Amino acid sequence: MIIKVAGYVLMGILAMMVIPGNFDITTNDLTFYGAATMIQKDANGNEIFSQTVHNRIVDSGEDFLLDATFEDGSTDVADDVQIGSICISDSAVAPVEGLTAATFDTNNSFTEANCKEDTTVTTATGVGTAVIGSLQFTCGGTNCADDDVVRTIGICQNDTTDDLDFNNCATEGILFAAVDVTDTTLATSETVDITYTFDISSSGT
Amino acid sequence: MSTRKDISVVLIIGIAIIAAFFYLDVENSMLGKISHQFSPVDFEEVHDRNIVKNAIPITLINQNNGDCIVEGKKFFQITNHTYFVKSQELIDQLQYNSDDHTLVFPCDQLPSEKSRLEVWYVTTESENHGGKFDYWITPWTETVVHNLDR
Repeated sequence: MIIKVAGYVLMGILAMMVIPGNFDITTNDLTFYGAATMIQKDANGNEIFSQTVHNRIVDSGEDFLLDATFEDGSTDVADDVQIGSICISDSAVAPVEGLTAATFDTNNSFTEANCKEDTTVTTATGVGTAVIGSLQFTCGGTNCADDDVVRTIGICQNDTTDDLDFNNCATEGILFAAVDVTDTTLATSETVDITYTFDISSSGT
Repeated sequence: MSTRKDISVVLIIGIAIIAAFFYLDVENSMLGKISHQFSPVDFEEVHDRNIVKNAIPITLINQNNGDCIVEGKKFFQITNHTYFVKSQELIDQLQYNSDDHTLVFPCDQLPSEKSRLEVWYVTTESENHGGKFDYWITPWTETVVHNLDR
């Protein structure tokens, strides 16, 4: 009896070894993604917390990529439109694909110039990445108020008129992507350095 | 006779299992998928997009019978994220005290009085090792020079 049971068990194990575990014929390999790295520093500039989290590329970001790359003679994307700004927000709403720049701003209560732009986004030839930053955000009335909580990061369009910090993503136009970060309270004189990396490198394409 | 026959069948199946380990792709079989759920996380098998990486400084406060109590002021920022589905497991493992922000580690894991605690966890969207996490401690290196102007 015991031998029979052992035989059935072994048969089951053999069957599980033979039957494939993945019935999906697609490779599920990701072709591109973006991620933000946030480094919080104390009043003396010492690192006290760091986090790297993936982004959610929103619909307007996808439209921008396709329009800028494939549309011939279209006016949907002007020549001077670039994605190179990072905006901080205290919105507790998780980023979704349909999030717009206007909604991103509406959900944010920061009244200061919460957006900074990188005028020299790094794109390495043959590597397949674009890097925005790092850009340093300071509270105390500059980019946010003391003890404000950063919960979401927006990747937005650069200001086409100047390179100064600005208030709100929709002011300039496009929200490209959003990142849900852990609640990070910036006390007096604390800062947060944020870097965004967009990676389309792939060995298979 | 029946017993001898049964033993023969079991032996044949056993040999077939051993052969299967050598000649079949067991990793991608149903058995491989099931065993993956219980194996430690292997970040090499997870796409970078699905890994959330965190780091904080930790400082030794006290020692007690081989256990070191450290202060990790920003530890709650690591565990306080919706993507970290098993954060309570880590909190329990490290005996985190939210009142004084202390953690407990075996002293032989601490390279110095001030060290770097890294915690990586996999988002549930990942095909491999979804929800799993791991942590380790490395020597602390200051990345920013003290600002003498402040």
